[in-house]
Amino acid sequence: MARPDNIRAEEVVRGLATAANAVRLYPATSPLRDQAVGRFLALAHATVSDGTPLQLIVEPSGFKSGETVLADGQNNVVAFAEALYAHQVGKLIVAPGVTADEVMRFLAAVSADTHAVRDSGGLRAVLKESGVSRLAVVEVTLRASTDEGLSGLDLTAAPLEEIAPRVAAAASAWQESAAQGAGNDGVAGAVAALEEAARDLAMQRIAEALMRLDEATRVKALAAAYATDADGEPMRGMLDVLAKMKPSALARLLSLAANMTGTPTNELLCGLKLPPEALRAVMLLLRPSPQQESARGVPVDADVTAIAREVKAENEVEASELERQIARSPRALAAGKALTTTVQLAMDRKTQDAVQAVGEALAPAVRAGALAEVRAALAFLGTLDRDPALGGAASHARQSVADPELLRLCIGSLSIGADADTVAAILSAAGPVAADTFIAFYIGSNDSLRPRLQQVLRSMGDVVTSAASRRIRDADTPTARELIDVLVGIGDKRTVPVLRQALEHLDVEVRRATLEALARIGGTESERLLVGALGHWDPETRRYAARAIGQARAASAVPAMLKILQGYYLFERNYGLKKELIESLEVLGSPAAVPTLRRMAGRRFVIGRKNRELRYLARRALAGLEQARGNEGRKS
Amino acid sequence: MSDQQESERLESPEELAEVTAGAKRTPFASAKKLGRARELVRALAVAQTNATLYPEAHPLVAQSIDELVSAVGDIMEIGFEAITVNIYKGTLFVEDHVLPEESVTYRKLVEELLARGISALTLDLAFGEKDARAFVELLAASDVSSIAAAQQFLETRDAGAVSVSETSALDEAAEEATPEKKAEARSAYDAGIAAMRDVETQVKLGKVFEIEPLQKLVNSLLSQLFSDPAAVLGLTAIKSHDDYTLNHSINVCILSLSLGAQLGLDKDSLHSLGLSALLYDLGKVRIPEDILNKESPLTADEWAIIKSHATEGADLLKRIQLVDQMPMIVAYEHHQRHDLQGYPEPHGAGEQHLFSKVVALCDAYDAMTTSRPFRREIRPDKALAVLMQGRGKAYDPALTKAFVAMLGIYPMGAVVRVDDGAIGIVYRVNRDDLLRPRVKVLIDAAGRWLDEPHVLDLRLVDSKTGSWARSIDECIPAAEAGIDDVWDYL
Repeated sequence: MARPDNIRAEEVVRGLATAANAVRLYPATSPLRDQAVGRFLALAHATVSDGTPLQLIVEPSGFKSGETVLADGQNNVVAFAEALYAHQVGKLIVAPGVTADEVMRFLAAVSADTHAVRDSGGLRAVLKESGVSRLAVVEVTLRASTDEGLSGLDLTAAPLEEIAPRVAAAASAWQESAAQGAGNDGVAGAVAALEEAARDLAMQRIAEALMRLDEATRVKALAAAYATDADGEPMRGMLDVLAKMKPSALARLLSLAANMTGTPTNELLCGLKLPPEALRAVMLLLRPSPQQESARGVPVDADVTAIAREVKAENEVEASELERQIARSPRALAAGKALTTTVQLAMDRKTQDAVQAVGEALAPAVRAGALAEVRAALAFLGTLDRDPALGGAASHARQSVADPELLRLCIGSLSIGADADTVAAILSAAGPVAADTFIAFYIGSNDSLRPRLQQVLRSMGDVVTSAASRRIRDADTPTARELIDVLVGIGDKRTVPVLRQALEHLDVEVRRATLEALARIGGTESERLLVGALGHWDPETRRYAARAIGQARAASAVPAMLKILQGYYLFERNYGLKKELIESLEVLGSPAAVPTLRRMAGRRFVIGRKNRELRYLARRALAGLEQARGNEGRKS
Repeated sequence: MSDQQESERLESPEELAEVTAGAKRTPFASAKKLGRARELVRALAVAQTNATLYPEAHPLVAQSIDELVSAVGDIMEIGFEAITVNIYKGTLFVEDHVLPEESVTYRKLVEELLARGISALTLDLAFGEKDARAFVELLAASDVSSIAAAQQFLETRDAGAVSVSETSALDEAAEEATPEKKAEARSAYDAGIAAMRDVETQVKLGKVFEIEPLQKLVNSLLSQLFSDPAAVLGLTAIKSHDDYTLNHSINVCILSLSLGAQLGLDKDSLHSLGLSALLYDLGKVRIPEDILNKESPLTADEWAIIKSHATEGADLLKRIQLVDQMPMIVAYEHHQRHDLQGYPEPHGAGEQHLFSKVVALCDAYDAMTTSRPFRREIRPDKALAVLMQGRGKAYDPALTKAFVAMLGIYPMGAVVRVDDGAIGIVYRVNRDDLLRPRVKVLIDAAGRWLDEPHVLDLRLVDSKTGSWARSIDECIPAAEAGIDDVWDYL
């Protein structure tokens, strides 16, 4: 990207090249010439509005500002540079205040025959002759005049080493002449002799040349420049040159001169006409620091050898600790930290924006496995639920974890040791989607993970049962059976209402699984449901219910069972049911069943194999019961 | 992963740099490894002496050739595929590691090599007895006096594992960075200032700033860092009083990226670190400037306001967390310190993130070495001493050492007075000796600014005295030396 000042410089170059073309191509009466020159002037004035002339390096291939090539490859600009270079111009200077008349005369001179210009003393002399002072050129060749001292040098081009001793001499001459009353300011004279545009460059070069002197001479020259003449004036030309020095160099020089002359630096500084920024910079450098280094814990001197030795010394503990941090540094792994930070921010400043940020940080944290941080964040969001201003935002933020993919990751982390309570808390906060995701995950999981999943399941029973409730009645058989399996995993009475719905499933296998589940879950609620199932509309379901009662050892079901056994059903041949009931009664071992069983066992005349089987089962059950009672009697 | 897959995967310069970093970065970091470099030079010198004193068939010649082959084999075990012995201005280096004592002790070897126009000698993995014999014969051959003749000599003896050249790698390293590269780096820096100024303006106006220009800036700095680290690191010498905040954030970004690259962070992490380093102090936009720039001591209330910039910054940066969360974390944590005794007060167990530690170090260093209205800048060596003092407390111990190792005790851009009274700027840091950088001498002992500054490698040994030719006397603040715009000289 080009720097802004270079962009402006490029515009100026283009403007001047265009003006040169216009002057060359159109007759003097054409308004296009004036327009092009006017455009250039506007650009030039805008660019040098701060008072500093624009300096451009001229090369046969184009213009440069510093190291940057301007308007690279633009034919009219290159042609203009070529034309200037043909006049041996190495530098073009555009000063503030340049006029249209000067531009016209400048362009006329540039477009003139090079031999003729050279015979007239070169382009610079021609321009000077024609009164162009705010567009100046520095020629590549050095030509000195026959004048003595600084005036004999081309200050815009002479080597700095040549300028330096003459500046020092000029300062000495000033000091001597000023002491006699009328100071002779050689620097001011030499600079004034130059065209206006070149003066700035000349002063800059004199300032640079001063730096080529040894420091003692430089300081002496500066001190000499402050000597005043009869009018009380110092060597103004030299002081103007000093104002062109860079702040640090000037500050150092002023300090040294102050030490040498005993004049305070402020006084020396007052004599200089520095631009405000430069003045501020020099003043900052000259004044003592408000804070001392010692007050900031900075050592008086740095023991560099000790530091180098320390840096080279190997410390395995420190190095391995750093390695650990590097391994943990990828941003994906920092998501937990980011979440904690957003929570911290939201705690400090409870705003919708802050709560939203917490929501945004949740998903990356889940992906990074930072579940403890996620749980804490969700808990924080939970505290905002009742806040009228933030409750909605908190709920919305929480929803960002209600993404099946994230939830699967969360549940899957159980296989790598994630805390089940934490996973459950996250799933519970995520709502119904979490339950569905969990159910799907549970169904697809293998036996090794089931115990861990069941830990979660028990913690989030309500959410899962509610999800199962929504699905179970209409689910296909395999799904319904899996759902029942999940409910068994919860294993408490919260699941019973859902299982009640499952008993109404169209597939008998589902109903059977439900009854088995009820038997495994146990408890009063389950027993009540099992008893109720003895009256199910489907005979097979009733039979399964009877079996399940035995499996559940549901003693409370005995009266209902006996009632069925004692009953006579004209339109239903319920041998199967009775068989299951007798077998379950045998398992239950209830004494209340003895009379009924005895009656069945004592039937002498039975017709049919199935009735005989019932009598046989009753006898077996009775024998079992009596044996159990005998055993109990012996024990007592 | 197959070799082919591996080679296909390693395409970007930074990946390649990472792979080769192991051997290239301080290869002789441990005493044992450095011992192998010394042994190699000793073996070369002994072989050269024996070949000069005894006939070819003498057992001592054969023995010294065996020792040379063995010494080359030992050094290759460090991880080299080829090892170069350089002679730079009369001083011996193995790769870019100076061997001051050997430069004097084995002066004869140096002279014999130079007499044949040899400034660099490279021995590769296949180096064997045939190569060693050919090389020893070359050093004994009085009729070989040019590099071309030396190359021809080795070629005719089929010594393919030895190559000699007239210029050492150190000659090339001493060359100035091309103006184009400097301009490119500066352009990225200026673009960075402009981008940060936009961010600052947007934030002050309460608007959401665009992250893309900053990402582009980090990309640009990173790609230049991998192609010319010195050019980029040198940019941190740019200091500004007026645009302190903007310059400071770019400088911290460059320092952080350099340190991150030194630590071997992957590209993605470096991007994230760079972005964090640009934005970590964004919260200061919300702090009144009169407090930020206050010259007198701060009151407790003012101090509390200053401290809130960490939280304020994180608060602003939480908005970009969908792009990258690290800037928010780093903004929040960068003053928490390694020992967590800083601010904001940490909640619960945990530690400062590595990126926060990196940025904290770079922030402290750049802030200390930049002049502010309320205090003068601290010399770089003293600033590093302060950081080293803070190891284990404010700063991570190993990270601080890595930072100093990266910058050097006299970092690039540090102004130093050499023991002959001349003043110069540290131009490049020599990794093998942090106390002996290459210095660009600007001002002679009499205070004259030189027309053509020259680069002085402080690792060079005076062959007559056997001691260092020049050393640093002291580090001085640039302003005190009268030097502005240090970057211009790098």
